[in-house]
Amino acid sequence: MSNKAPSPRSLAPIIIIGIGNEFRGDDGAGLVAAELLKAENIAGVEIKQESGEGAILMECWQGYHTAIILDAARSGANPGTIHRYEIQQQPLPRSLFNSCSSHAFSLVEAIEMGKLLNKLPRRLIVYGIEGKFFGMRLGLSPEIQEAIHNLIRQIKNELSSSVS
Amino acid sequence: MKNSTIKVDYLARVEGEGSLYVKIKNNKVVDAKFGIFEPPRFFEAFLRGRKFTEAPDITARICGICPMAYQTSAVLAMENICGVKVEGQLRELRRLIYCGEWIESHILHVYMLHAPDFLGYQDAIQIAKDHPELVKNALRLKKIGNEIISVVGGREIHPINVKVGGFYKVPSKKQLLGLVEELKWALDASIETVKFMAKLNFPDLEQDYEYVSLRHPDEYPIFDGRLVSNKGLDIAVDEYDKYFAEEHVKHSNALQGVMKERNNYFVGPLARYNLCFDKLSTSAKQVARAVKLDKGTNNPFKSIIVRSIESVYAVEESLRIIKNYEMPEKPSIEVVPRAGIGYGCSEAPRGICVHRYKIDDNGNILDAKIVPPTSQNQKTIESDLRQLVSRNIRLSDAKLTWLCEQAVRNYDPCISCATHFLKLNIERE
Repeated sequence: MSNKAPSPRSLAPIIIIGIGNEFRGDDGAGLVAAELLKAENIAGVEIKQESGEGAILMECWQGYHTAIILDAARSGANPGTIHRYEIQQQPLPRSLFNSCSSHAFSLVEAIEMGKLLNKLPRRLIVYGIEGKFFGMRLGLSPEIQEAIHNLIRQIKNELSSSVS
Repeated sequence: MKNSTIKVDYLARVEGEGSLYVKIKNNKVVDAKFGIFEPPRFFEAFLRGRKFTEAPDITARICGICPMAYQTSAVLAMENICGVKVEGQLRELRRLIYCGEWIESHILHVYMLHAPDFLGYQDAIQIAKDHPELVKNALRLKKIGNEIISVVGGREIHPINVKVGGFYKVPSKKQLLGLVEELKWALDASIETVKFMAKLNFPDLEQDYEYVSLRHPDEYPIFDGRLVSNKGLDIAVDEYDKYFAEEHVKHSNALQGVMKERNNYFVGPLARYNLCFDKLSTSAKQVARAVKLDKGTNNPFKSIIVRSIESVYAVEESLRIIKNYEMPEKPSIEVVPRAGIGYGCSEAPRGICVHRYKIDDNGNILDAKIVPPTSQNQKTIESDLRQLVSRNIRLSDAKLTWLCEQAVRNYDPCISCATHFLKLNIERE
Protein backbone atom coordinates (compact mmCIF):
# COMPACT_ATOMS: atom_id res chain seq x y z
CA MET A 1 0.00 0.00 0.00
CA SER A 2 1.59 3.23 -1.02
CA ASN A 3 0.61 5.47 1.75
CA LYS A 4 4.08 6.85 2.13
CA ALA A 5 3.71 9.82 -0.22
CA PRO A 6 5.24 12.48 2.02
CA SER A 7 6.53 15.67 0.48
CA PRO A 8 8.51 14.65 -2.61
CA ARG A 9 11.27 17.00 -1.46
CA SER A 10 12.30 14.44 1.13
CA LEU A 11 12.79 11.86 -1.62
CA ALA A 12 15.61 11.41 -4.09
CA PRO A 13 16.80 14.47 -6.00
CA ILE A 14 16.37 12.65 -9.31
CA ILE A 15 13.27 10.91 -10.64
CA ILE A 16 13.15 8.69 -13.71
CA ILE A 17 9.66 8.11 -15.12
CA GLY A 18 9.03 5.44 -17.73
CA ILE A 19 5.75 5.92 -19.62
CA GLY A 20 3.79 3.96 -22.20
CA ASN A 21 1.35 1.13 -22.76
CA GLU A 22 2.74 -2.37 -22.44
CA PHE A 23 -0.13 -3.79 -24.49
CA ARG A 24 0.85 -1.75 -27.55
CA GLY A 25 4.11 -3.41 -28.55
CA ASP A 26 7.05 -1.00 -28.59
CA ASP A 27 4.96 1.68 -26.88
CA GLY A 28 6.00 -0.15 -23.70
CA ALA A 29 9.71 0.69 -24.27
CA GLY A 30 9.78 3.41 -21.59
CA LEU A 31 8.18 1.07 -19.05
CA VAL A 32 10.64 -1.73 -19.76
CA ALA A 33 13.61 0.68 -19.52
CA ALA A 34 12.33 1.94 -16.14
CA GLU A 35 11.93 -1.62 -14.91
CA LEU A 36 15.53 -2.47 -15.84
CA LEU A 37 16.83 0.73 -14.23
CA LYS A 38 14.96 -0.15 -11.06
CA ALA A 39 16.94 -3.39 -10.86
CA GLU A 40 20.17 -1.36 -10.99
CA ASN A 41 19.34 0.21 -7.60
CA ILE A 42 21.01 3.51 -8.32
CA ALA A 43 21.42 5.55 -5.13
CA GLY A 44 19.57 8.84 -5.01
CA VAL A 45 17.32 7.98 -7.95
CA GLU A 46 13.58 7.35 -7.66
CA ILE A 47 12.03 5.31 -10.48
CA LYS A 48 8.36 5.27 -11.49
CA GLN A 49 6.26 3.75 -14.25
CA GLU A 50 3.21 5.66 -15.46
CA SER A 51 0.70 5.58 -18.31
CA GLY A 52 1.79 9.06 -19.46
CA GLU A 53 -1.35 10.99 -18.47
CA GLY A 54 -0.17 14.62 -18.29
CA ALA A 55 -1.61 15.76 -14.97
CA ILE A 56 -0.09 12.78 -13.21
CA LEU A 57 3.31 13.43 -14.81
CA MET A 58 3.16 16.98 -13.45
CA GLU A 59 2.58 15.57 -9.98
CA CYS A 60 5.34 12.98 -10.34
CA TRP A 61 8.15 15.41 -11.08
CA GLN A 62 6.97 17.97 -8.53
CA GLY A 63 9.74 18.76 -6.02
CA TYR A 64 12.56 16.98 -7.86
CA HIS A 65 15.63 18.79 -9.08
CA THR A 66 15.97 16.57 -12.14
CA ALA A 67 13.42 14.44 -13.97
CA ILE A 68 14.23 12.01 -16.76
CA ILE A 69 11.32 10.78 -18.88
CA LEU A 70 11.58 7.60 -20.92
CA ASP A 71 8.97 7.26 -23.66
CA ALA A 72 8.50 5.53 -26.99
CA ALA A 73 8.88 7.75 -30.07
CA ARG A 74 7.59 7.49 -33.62
CA SER A 75 9.39 9.88 -35.98
CA GLY A 76 10.26 7.63 -38.89
CA ALA A 77 13.89 7.19 -37.76
CA ASN A 78 15.41 3.71 -37.61
CA PRO A 79 13.80 1.55 -34.94
CA GLY A 80 15.93 1.66 -31.81
CA THR A 81 17.21 5.22 -32.43
CA ILE A 82 17.52 7.09 -29.13
CA HIS A 83 16.35 10.72 -29.16
CA ARG A 84 17.39 12.99 -26.32
CA TYR A 85 15.91 16.38 -25.43
CA GLU A 86 16.99 18.74 -22.71
CA ILE A 87 13.74 20.62 -22.21
CA GLN A 88 15.22 23.80 -20.75
CA GLN A 89 17.31 24.11 -23.90
CA GLN A 90 15.05 22.86 -26.69
CA PRO A 91 11.31 22.30 -27.11
CA LEU A 92 10.02 18.76 -27.41
CA PRO A 93 8.79 18.07 -30.93
CA ARG A 94 5.11 17.20 -30.66
CA SER A 95 5.24 15.03 -33.77
CA LEU A 96 7.59 12.59 -32.12
CA PHE A 97 5.59 11.65 -29.09
CA ASN A 98 1.98 12.57 -29.62
CA SER A 99 1.11 9.74 -31.94
CA CYS A 100 2.07 7.05 -29.46
CA SER A 101 -0.14 8.17 -26.65
CA SER A 102 -3.84 7.58 -26.59
CA HIS A 103 -4.10 10.41 -24.09
CA ALA A 104 -4.75 13.88 -25.41
CA PHE A 105 -3.34 15.56 -22.32
CA SER A 106 0.02 13.89 -22.52
CA LEU A 107 3.74 14.47 -22.09
CA VAL A 108 4.08 17.39 -24.51
CA GLU A 109 1.09 19.19 -23.01
CA ALA A 110 2.28 18.49 -19.47
CA ILE A 111 5.62 20.10 -20.26
CA GLU A 112 3.98 23.14 -21.88
CA MET A 113 1.61 23.55 -18.96
CA GLY A 114 4.40 22.96 -16.45
CA LYS A 115 6.32 25.85 -18.04
CA LEU A 116 3.31 28.17 -17.80
CA LEU A 117 2.45 27.28 -14.23
CA ASN A 118 6.04 27.14 -13.03
CA LYS A 119 5.74 23.46 -12.27
CA LEU A 120 8.74 21.99 -14.06
CA PRO A 121 11.78 20.48 -12.36
CA ARG A 122 14.99 22.52 -12.67
CA ARG A 123 16.24 20.05 -15.22
CA LEU A 124 14.01 17.91 -17.44
CA ILE A 125 15.40 15.40 -19.89
CA VAL A 126 13.24 13.35 -22.27
CA TYR A 127 14.55 10.22 -23.92
CA GLY A 128 12.54 8.90 -26.86
CA ILE A 129 13.09 5.34 -27.95
CA GLU A 130 12.14 4.99 -31.61
CA GLY A 131 9.68 2.09 -31.87
CA LYS A 132 8.71 -0.11 -34.77
CA PHE A 133 5.46 -1.86 -33.91
CA PHE A 134 2.63 -0.10 -32.06
CA GLY A 135 -0.16 -2.63 -32.59
CA MET A 136 -1.73 -4.93 -30.03
CA ARG A 137 1.02 -7.05 -28.56
CA LEU A 138 2.77 -7.70 -25.30
CA GLY A 139 6.56 -7.37 -25.54
CA LEU A 140 9.08 -5.32 -27.52
CA SER A 141 10.66 -5.82 -30.96
CA PRO A 142 14.23 -7.27 -30.72
CA GLU A 143 15.94 -4.09 -32.00
CA ILE A 144 14.13 -2.06 -29.34
CA GLN A 145 15.23 -4.47 -26.62
CA GLU A 146 18.81 -3.94 -27.71
CA ALA A 147 18.43 -0.17 -27.88
CA ILE A 148 17.13 -0.12 -24.31
CA HIS A 149 20.34 -1.70 -23.04
CA ASN A 150 22.34 1.06 -24.73
CA LEU A 151 19.97 3.65 -23.30
CA ILE A 152 20.48 2.33 -19.80
CA ARG A 153 24.27 2.57 -20.19
CA GLN A 154 23.87 6.13 -21.46
CA ILE A 155 21.66 7.13 -18.53
CA LYS A 156 24.01 5.56 -16.00
CA ASN A 157 26.95 7.46 -17.52
CA GLU A 158 24.95 10.64 -17.50
CA LEU A 159 23.98 10.17 -13.85
CA SER A 160 27.52 9.41 -12.72
CA SER A 161 28.97 12.38 -14.58
CA SER A 162 26.31 14.73 -13.20
CA VAL A 163 27.04 13.45 -9.65
CA SER A 164 30.81 13.92 -10.03
CA MET B 1 -22.29 25.64 -49.20
CA LYS B 2 -25.24 23.40 -49.96
CA ASN B 3 -23.21 20.22 -50.14
CA SER B 4 -20.41 19.51 -47.79
CA THR B 5 -18.51 16.91 -45.82
CA ILE B 6 -17.13 17.48 -42.36
CA LYS B 7 -14.21 15.20 -41.63
CA VAL B 8 -12.08 15.19 -38.54
CA ASP B 9 -9.43 12.58 -38.94
CA TYR B 10 -8.12 12.64 -35.41
CA LEU B 11 -10.33 14.05 -32.72
CA ALA B 12 -8.23 15.73 -30.09
CA ARG B 13 -8.94 15.62 -26.39
CA VAL B 14 -10.80 12.35 -26.32
CA GLU B 15 -9.30 9.34 -24.71
CA GLY B 16 -7.97 7.16 -27.50
CA GLU B 17 -8.38 7.77 -31.21
CA GLY B 18 -11.46 7.89 -33.39
CA SER B 19 -13.07 9.77 -36.24
CA LEU B 20 -16.16 11.71 -37.21
CA TYR B 21 -17.78 11.82 -40.61
CA VAL B 22 -20.81 13.94 -41.53
CA LYS B 23 -22.18 14.16 -45.07
CA ILE B 24 -24.44 17.05 -46.14
CA LYS B 25 -26.40 16.97 -49.39
CA ASN B 26 -28.65 19.90 -50.46
CA ASN B 27 -28.39 21.32 -46.95
CA LYS B 28 -29.62 18.09 -45.39
CA VAL B 29 -27.56 15.69 -43.32
CA VAL B 30 -27.55 12.37 -45.12
CA ASP B 31 -24.96 10.52 -43.07
CA ALA B 32 -23.26 10.81 -39.67
CA LYS B 33 -20.73 8.29 -38.50
CA PHE B 34 -18.67 8.07 -35.37
CA GLY B 35 -15.86 5.69 -36.20
CA ILE B 36 -13.36 3.94 -34.01
CA PHE B 37 -10.44 2.45 -35.86
CA GLU B 38 -8.04 1.36 -33.23
CA PRO B 39 -7.85 -2.42 -33.58
CA PRO B 40 -10.19 -4.26 -31.25
CA ARG B 41 -8.75 -5.09 -27.92
CA PHE B 42 -8.13 -8.68 -27.21
CA PHE B 43 -8.82 -8.60 -23.54
CA GLU B 44 -11.78 -10.91 -23.75
CA ALA B 45 -9.50 -13.49 -25.39
CA PHE B 46 -6.61 -12.79 -22.96
CA LEU B 47 -8.95 -13.71 -20.13
CA ARG B 48 -9.90 -17.18 -21.31
CA GLY B 49 -7.97 -19.82 -19.40
CA ARG B 50 -6.92 -17.40 -16.65
CA LYS B 51 -8.03 -17.75 -13.04
CA PHE B 52 -11.16 -15.96 -11.86
CA THR B 53 -9.02 -14.08 -9.36
CA GLU B 54 -6.91 -12.57 -12.17
CA ALA B 55 -9.77 -10.79 -13.95
CA PRO B 56 -9.67 -7.57 -11.88
CA ASP B 57 -5.95 -7.01 -12.47
CA ILE B 58 -6.06 -7.92 -16.15
CA THR B 59 -9.12 -5.83 -16.99
CA ALA B 60 -7.75 -2.84 -15.02
CA ARG B 61 -5.24 -2.47 -17.84
CA ILE B 62 -7.99 -1.77 -20.38
CA CYS B 63 -8.00 1.86 -19.31
CA GLY B 64 -5.55 4.17 -17.50
CA ILE B 65 -8.37 6.62 -16.70
CA CYS B 66 -10.99 4.26 -15.32
CA PRO B 67 -9.31 1.09 -14.03
CA MET B 68 -11.62 1.04 -11.00
CA ALA B 69 -14.66 0.54 -13.20
CA TYR B 70 -13.12 -2.55 -14.76
CA GLN B 71 -11.82 -3.93 -11.49
CA THR B 72 -15.12 -3.37 -9.73
CA SER B 73 -17.30 -4.87 -12.46
CA ALA B 74 -14.94 -7.86 -12.64
CA VAL B 75 -14.96 -8.59 -8.89
CA LEU B 76 -18.73 -8.14 -8.73
CA ALA B 77 -19.23 -10.61 -11.56
CA MET B 78 -16.98 -13.22 -9.92
CA GLU B 79 -18.67 -12.77 -6.55
CA ASN B 80 -22.02 -13.05 -8.30
CA ILE B 81 -20.98 -16.43 -9.77
CA CYS B 82 -19.61 -17.70 -6.45
CA GLY B 83 -22.60 -16.58 -4.39
CA VAL B 84 -20.72 -14.06 -2.26
CA LYS B 85 -21.75 -10.55 -1.32
CA VAL B 86 -19.19 -8.09 0.02
CA GLU B 87 -20.85 -5.82 2.57
CA GLY B 88 -20.09 -3.37 5.35
CA GLN B 89 -16.83 -1.45 5.47
CA LEU B 90 -15.30 -3.42 2.61
CA ARG B 91 -18.16 -2.33 0.40
CA GLU B 92 -17.71 1.22 1.64
CA LEU B 93 -14.03 1.10 0.71
CA ARG B 94 -14.99 -0.01 -2.78
CA ARG B 95 -17.26 3.01 -3.01
CA LEU B 96 -14.52 5.27 -1.70
CA ILE B 97 -11.91 4.20 -4.24
CA TYR B 98 -14.53 4.50 -6.99
CA CYS B 99 -15.28 8.07 -5.84
CA GLY B 100 -11.55 8.75 -6.29
CA GLU B 101 -11.85 7.64 -9.88
CA TRP B 102 -14.94 9.79 -10.53
CA ILE B 103 -13.13 12.83 -9.14
CA GLU B 104 -9.95 12.43 -11.18
CA SER B 105 -11.70 11.42 -14.38
CA HIS B 106 -14.45 14.08 -14.20
CA ILE B 107 -12.09 16.91 -13.27
CA LEU B 108 -9.64 16.00 -16.03
CA HIS B 109 -12.47 15.96 -18.55
CA VAL B 110 -14.29 19.06 -17.34
CA TYR B 111 -11.25 21.37 -17.16
CA MET B 112 -8.62 19.93 -19.49
CA LEU B 113 -10.66 18.37 -22.25
CA HIS B 114 -14.15 19.91 -22.45
CA ALA B 115 -13.91 23.46 -21.05
CA PRO B 116 -11.57 24.61 -23.86
CA ASP B 117 -14.41 23.93 -26.37
CA PHE B 118 -16.79 26.24 -24.53
CA LEU B 119 -14.22 28.96 -23.90
CA GLY B 120 -12.96 28.99 -27.48
CA TYR B 121 -9.48 27.74 -26.64
CA GLN B 122 -7.55 25.18 -28.64
CA ASP B 123 -6.53 23.35 -25.50
CA ALA B 124 -6.08 23.57 -21.73
CA ILE B 125 -2.61 25.09 -22.16
CA GLN B 126 -4.29 28.21 -23.59
CA ILE B 127 -6.58 28.32 -20.54
CA ALA B 128 -3.52 28.06 -18.30
CA LYS B 129 -2.03 31.13 -20.02
CA ASP B 130 -5.09 33.28 -19.27
CA HIS B 131 -6.33 31.67 -16.06
CA PRO B 132 -3.39 30.01 -14.28
CA GLU B 133 -5.18 29.86 -10.90
CA LEU B 134 -8.16 28.04 -12.40
CA VAL B 135 -5.90 25.37 -13.87
CA LYS B 136 -3.83 25.07 -10.69
CA ASN B 137 -7.03 24.45 -8.73
CA ALA B 138 -8.16 21.88 -11.29
CA LEU B 139 -4.88 20.00 -10.95
CA ARG B 140 -5.16 20.12 -7.16
CA LEU B 141 -8.74 18.81 -7.33
CA LYS B 142 -7.77 16.00 -9.65
CA LYS B 143 -4.92 15.09 -7.36
CA ILE B 144 -7.20 14.38 -4.42
CA GLY B 145 -8.93 11.77 -6.60
CA ASN B 146 -5.57 10.18 -7.33
CA GLU B 147 -4.67 10.23 -3.65
CA ILE B 148 -7.82 8.34 -2.69
CA ILE B 149 -6.94 5.70 -5.28
CA SER B 150 -3.35 5.51 -4.02
CA VAL B 151 -4.31 5.13 -0.37
CA VAL B 152 -7.02 2.52 -0.95
CA GLY B 153 -5.73 0.93 -4.16
CA GLY B 154 -1.99 0.83 -3.59
CA ARG B 155 -1.09 3.08 -6.52
CA GLU B 156 -2.88 5.64 -8.66
CA ILE B 157 -2.85 4.29 -12.21
CA HIS B 158 -3.58 0.60 -12.11
CA PRO B 159 -4.51 -0.08 -8.51
CA ILE B 160 -3.17 -3.40 -7.27
CA ASN B 161 -5.02 -3.79 -4.01
CA VAL B 162 -8.46 -4.83 -5.25
CA LYS B 163 -9.36 -8.51 -5.23
CA VAL B 164 -12.33 -10.80 -5.55
CA GLY B 165 -13.84 -10.75 -2.03
CA GLY B 166 -12.43 -7.36 -0.99
CA PHE B 167 -8.84 -6.09 -0.74
CA TYR B 168 -5.36 -7.48 -0.12
CA LYS B 169 -4.81 -4.91 2.60
CA VAL B 170 -7.14 -2.32 4.06
CA PRO B 171 -6.13 1.19 5.09
CA SER B 172 -6.20 2.28 8.73
CA LYS B 173 -8.58 4.97 9.89
CA LYS B 174 -5.58 7.24 10.34
CA GLN B 175 -4.53 6.81 6.73
CA LEU B 176 -7.98 7.79 5.53
CA LEU B 177 -8.19 10.71 7.94
CA GLY B 178 -5.07 12.02 6.23
CA LEU B 179 -7.24 12.75 3.19
CA VAL B 180 -9.87 14.77 5.01
CA GLU B 181 -8.31 18.21 5.04
CA GLU B 182 -7.73 18.21 1.29
CA LEU B 183 -11.20 16.77 0.67
CA LYS B 184 -12.72 19.65 2.62
CA TRP B 185 -10.90 22.07 0.35
CA ALA B 186 -12.06 20.00 -2.60
CA LEU B 187 -15.71 20.27 -1.55
CA ASP B 188 -15.57 24.07 -1.82
CA ALA B 189 -13.48 23.94 -4.99
CA SER B 190 -15.83 21.50 -6.70
CA ILE B 191 -18.87 23.63 -5.79
CA GLU B 192 -17.09 26.62 -7.36
CA THR B 193 -16.41 24.45 -10.40
CA VAL B 194 -20.15 23.83 -10.86
CA LYS B 195 -20.89 27.56 -10.64
CA PHE B 196 -18.14 28.38 -13.15
CA MET B 197 -19.21 25.72 -15.65
CA ALA B 198 -22.89 26.68 -15.37
CA LYS B 199 -22.06 30.16 -16.75
CA LEU B 200 -20.75 28.79 -20.06
CA ASN B 201 -22.78 29.14 -23.25
CA PHE B 202 -24.51 25.93 -24.23
CA PRO B 203 -25.43 25.12 -27.82
CA ASP B 204 -29.06 24.03 -28.27
CA LEU B 205 -29.55 20.33 -28.57
CA GLU B 206 -32.19 18.17 -26.99
CA GLN B 207 -33.46 14.80 -28.00
CA ASP B 208 -35.92 12.29 -26.65
CA TYR B 209 -33.20 10.09 -25.18
CA GLU B 210 -33.58 6.80 -23.37
CA TYR B 211 -31.25 7.12 -20.37
CA VAL B 212 -29.97 3.93 -18.77
CA SER B 213 -28.21 3.69 -15.42
CA LEU B 214 -28.07 1.66 -12.28
CA ARG B 215 -30.50 2.73 -9.60
CA HIS B 216 -30.12 1.82 -5.96
CA PRO B 217 -32.81 2.41 -3.30
CA ASP B 218 -30.46 4.14 -0.84
CA GLU B 219 -27.59 5.73 -2.69
CA TYR B 220 -26.47 7.48 -5.85
CA PRO B 221 -25.50 4.64 -8.19
CA ILE B 222 -21.87 3.50 -8.34
CA PHE B 223 -22.43 -0.25 -8.18
CA ASP B 224 -25.31 -2.48 -7.11
CA GLY B 225 -28.95 -1.84 -7.84
CA ARG B 226 -31.11 -2.44 -10.89
CA LEU B 227 -30.68 -1.26 -14.44
CA VAL B 228 -33.42 1.25 -15.15
CA SER B 229 -34.40 3.73 -17.84
CA ASN B 230 -36.74 6.71 -18.17
CA LYS B 231 -38.80 4.60 -20.59
CA GLY B 232 -39.74 1.75 -18.34
CA LEU B 233 -36.72 -0.53 -18.26
CA ASP B 234 -36.29 -2.03 -14.78
CA ILE B 235 -34.21 -5.20 -14.77
CA ALA B 236 -31.67 -7.07 -12.67
CA VAL B 237 -28.08 -6.75 -13.91
CA ASP B 238 -27.97 -10.43 -14.86
CA GLU B 239 -30.87 -9.91 -17.28
CA TYR B 240 -28.61 -7.57 -19.31
CA ASP B 241 -28.25 -9.88 -22.32
CA LYS B 242 -32.01 -10.33 -22.60
CA TYR B 243 -32.50 -6.61 -23.21
CA PHE B 244 -29.25 -5.36 -24.71
CA ALA B 245 -27.19 -6.39 -27.73
CA GLU B 246 -24.03 -5.32 -29.49
CA GLU B 247 -23.96 -4.77 -33.25
CA HIS B 248 -21.01 -4.70 -35.54
CA VAL B 249 -20.93 -1.79 -38.00
CA LYS B 250 -18.49 -1.43 -40.87
CA HIS B 251 -17.03 1.97 -39.89
CA SER B 252 -16.12 1.10 -36.32
CA ASN B 253 -13.92 -1.46 -34.61
CA ALA B 254 -16.01 -1.16 -31.48
CA LEU B 255 -19.30 -2.99 -31.30
CA GLN B 256 -22.24 -0.58 -30.97
CA GLY B 257 -24.60 -1.12 -28.07
CA VAL B 258 -28.35 -1.19 -28.73
CA MET B 259 -31.43 -2.06 -26.72
CA LYS B 260 -33.22 -4.94 -28.35
CA GLU B 261 -36.31 -3.79 -30.25
CA ARG B 262 -35.70 -0.20 -29.10
CA ASN B 263 -32.40 0.99 -30.64
CA ASN B 264 -29.95 3.49 -29.13
CA TYR B 265 -29.66 4.58 -25.52
CA PHE B 266 -27.63 6.98 -23.38
CA VAL B 267 -25.35 6.05 -20.47
CA GLY B 268 -23.13 8.20 -18.24
CA PRO B 269 -23.40 11.21 -15.94
CA LEU B 270 -26.50 12.68 -17.64
CA ALA B 271 -28.32 9.34 -17.38
CA ARG B 272 -27.40 8.84 -13.72
CA TYR B 273 -28.30 12.43 -12.90
CA ASN B 274 -31.69 12.40 -14.63
CA LEU B 275 -32.62 9.01 -13.20
CA CYS B 276 -31.20 9.31 -9.67
CA PHE B 277 -31.09 13.02 -8.79
CA ASP B 278 -33.01 12.29 -5.57
CA LYS B 279 -30.07 10.19 -4.29
CA LEU B 280 -27.43 12.94 -4.53
CA SER B 281 -25.81 14.35 -1.39
CA THR B 282 -26.91 17.59 0.25
CA SER B 283 -24.25 19.88 -1.20
CA ALA B 284 -24.61 18.39 -4.67
CA LYS B 285 -28.38 19.00 -4.63
CA GLN B 286 -27.91 22.49 -3.22
CA VAL B 287 -25.52 23.60 -5.90
CA ALA B 288 -27.70 21.97 -8.57
CA ARG B 289 -30.59 24.14 -7.36
CA ALA B 290 -28.34 27.20 -7.28
CA VAL B 291 -27.51 26.73 -10.96
CA LYS B 292 -31.13 25.80 -11.79
CA LEU B 293 -30.37 22.29 -12.93
CA ASP B 294 -32.30 20.45 -10.22
CA LYS B 295 -35.07 19.47 -12.64
CA GLY B 296 -32.58 17.54 -14.77
CA THR B 297 -31.60 18.35 -18.33
CA ASN B 298 -31.81 16.80 -21.79
CA ASN B 299 -29.09 18.98 -23.27
CA PRO B 300 -25.98 16.77 -23.56
CA PHE B 301 -23.73 19.88 -23.65
CA LYS B 302 -24.75 20.46 -20.04
CA SER B 303 -23.04 17.22 -19.13
CA ILE B 304 -20.07 19.43 -18.22
CA ILE B 305 -22.16 20.86 -15.36
CA VAL B 306 -23.46 17.43 -14.42
CA ARG B 307 -19.92 16.02 -14.26
CA SER B 308 -19.02 18.91 -11.96
CA ILE B 309 -22.05 18.18 -9.74
CA GLU B 310 -21.11 14.50 -9.62
CA SER B 311 -17.63 15.61 -8.53
CA VAL B 312 -19.20 17.49 -5.60
CA TYR B 313 -21.09 14.30 -4.81
CA ALA B 314 -17.97 12.12 -4.99
CA VAL B 315 -16.08 14.45 -2.65
CA GLU B 316 -18.93 14.60 -0.14
CA GLU B 317 -19.48 10.84 -0.32
CA SER B 318 -15.75 10.28 0.32
CA LEU B 319 -15.93 12.48 3.40
CA ARG B 320 -18.97 10.54 4.64
CA ILE B 321 -17.28 7.15 4.13
CA ILE B 322 -14.09 8.26 5.87
CA LYS B 323 -16.01 9.72 8.81
CA ASN B 324 -17.87 6.44 9.44
CA TYR B 325 -14.95 4.17 8.61
CA GLU B 326 -13.87 1.46 11.00
CA MET B 327 -11.00 -0.69 9.85
CA PRO B 328 -12.41 -4.17 9.12
CA GLU B 329 -10.83 -7.15 10.88
CA LYS B 330 -10.16 -8.95 7.64
CA PRO B 331 -9.30 -7.26 4.36
CA SER B 332 -11.40 -9.71 2.36
CA ILE B 333 -13.86 -12.54 2.60
CA GLU B 334 -13.13 -15.96 1.21
CA VAL B 335 -14.49 -16.72 -2.22
CA VAL B 336 -14.58 -20.37 -3.28
CA PRO B 337 -15.00 -20.84 -7.02
CA ARG B 338 -17.94 -22.74 -8.45
CA ALA B 339 -18.98 -23.28 -12.02
CA GLY B 340 -21.41 -20.75 -13.40
CA ILE B 341 -22.10 -17.57 -15.33
CA GLY B 342 -22.31 -14.20 -13.61
CA TYR B 343 -22.64 -10.49 -14.28
CA GLY B 344 -21.07 -7.42 -12.72
CA CYS B 345 -22.02 -3.83 -13.49
CA SER B 346 -20.66 -0.55 -12.19
CA GLU B 347 -21.01 3.11 -13.13
CA ALA B 348 -17.72 4.08 -14.76
CA PRO B 349 -17.31 7.88 -15.00
CA ARG B 350 -18.65 7.51 -18.58
CA GLY B 351 -21.52 5.13 -17.76
CA ILE B 352 -22.31 1.50 -17.09
CA CYS B 353 -19.49 -0.98 -17.57
CA VAL B 354 -20.87 -4.51 -17.81
CA HIS B 355 -18.84 -7.69 -17.40
CA ARG B 356 -20.04 -11.26 -17.88
CA TYR B 357 -17.90 -14.30 -17.12
CA LYS B 358 -18.28 -18.04 -17.28
CA ILE B 359 -15.99 -20.04 -14.99
CA ASP B 360 -15.57 -23.72 -14.12
CA ASP B 361 -15.40 -25.38 -10.69
CA ASN B 362 -11.65 -24.73 -10.50
CA GLY B 363 -12.14 -21.04 -11.10
CA ASN B 364 -10.81 -21.05 -14.68
CA ILE B 365 -12.37 -18.44 -16.94
CA LEU B 366 -14.08 -20.13 -19.89
CA ASP B 367 -15.64 -17.05 -21.45
CA ALA B 368 -15.57 -13.29 -20.93
CA LYS B 369 -17.63 -10.42 -22.27
CA ILE B 370 -16.87 -6.79 -21.47
CA VAL B 371 -19.16 -3.96 -22.54
CA PRO B 372 -17.57 -0.54 -21.92
CA PRO B 373 -19.71 2.62 -21.72
CA THR B 374 -18.39 4.29 -24.86
CA SER B 375 -19.47 1.46 -27.13
CA GLN B 376 -22.98 1.83 -25.72
CA ASN B 377 -23.07 5.57 -26.44
CA GLN B 378 -21.78 5.34 -30.03
CA LYS B 379 -25.18 5.29 -31.70
CA THR B 380 -26.48 8.16 -29.57
CA ILE B 381 -23.39 10.20 -30.45
CA GLU B 382 -24.16 9.66 -34.15
CA SER B 383 -27.77 10.69 -33.65
CA ASP B 384 -26.64 13.88 -31.82
CA LEU B 385 -24.30 14.74 -34.68
CA ARG B 386 -27.10 14.36 -37.21
CA GLN B 387 -29.37 16.68 -35.19
CA LEU B 388 -26.68 19.19 -34.42
CA VAL B 389 -25.49 19.59 -37.99
CA SER B 390 -29.09 19.85 -39.25
CA ARG B 391 -29.79 22.69 -36.80
CA ASN B 392 -26.57 24.53 -37.61
CA ILE B 393 -26.27 23.81 -41.30
CA ARG B 394 -25.57 27.46 -42.11
CA LEU B 395 -22.42 27.60 -40.04
CA SER B 396 -19.05 27.45 -41.77
CA ASP B 397 -17.37 24.07 -41.98
CA ALA B 398 -14.77 25.20 -39.44
CA LYS B 399 -17.45 26.20 -36.91
CA LEU B 400 -19.47 23.06 -37.58
CA THR B 401 -16.41 20.90 -37.07
CA TRP B 402 -15.68 22.61 -33.76
CA LEU B 403 -19.28 22.06 -32.67
CA CYS B 404 -19.22 18.40 -33.67
CA GLU B 405 -16.02 17.73 -31.74
CA GLN B 406 -17.49 19.52 -28.73
CA ALA B 407 -20.62 17.33 -29.03
CA VAL B 408 -18.61 14.12 -29.11
CA ARG B 409 -16.82 15.19 -25.96
CA ASN B 410 -20.21 15.51 -24.21
CA TYR B 411 -19.88 11.76 -23.86
CA ASP B 412 -16.26 11.85 -22.65
CA PRO B 413 -15.65 8.92 -24.97
CA CYS B 414 -13.01 6.60 -23.75
CA ILE B 415 -12.16 5.10 -27.07
CA SER B 416 -9.29 3.09 -25.78
CA CYS B 417 -11.82 1.29 -23.61
CA ALA B 418 -14.38 0.88 -26.35
CA THR B 419 -11.61 -0.94 -28.19
CA HIS B 420 -10.09 1.31 -29.33
CA PHE B 421 -8.60 5.34 -31.06
CA LEU B 422 -10.90 9.01 -32.93
CA LYS B 423 -10.73 11.10 -36.73
CA LEU B 424 -13.89 14.33 -38.08
CA ASN B 425 -15.14 14.61 -41.60
CA ILE B 426 -17.98 16.89 -42.79
CA GLU B 427 -18.72 16.29 -46.46
CA ARG B 428 -21.06 18.62 -48.35
CA GLU B 429 -22.29 17.71 -51.77
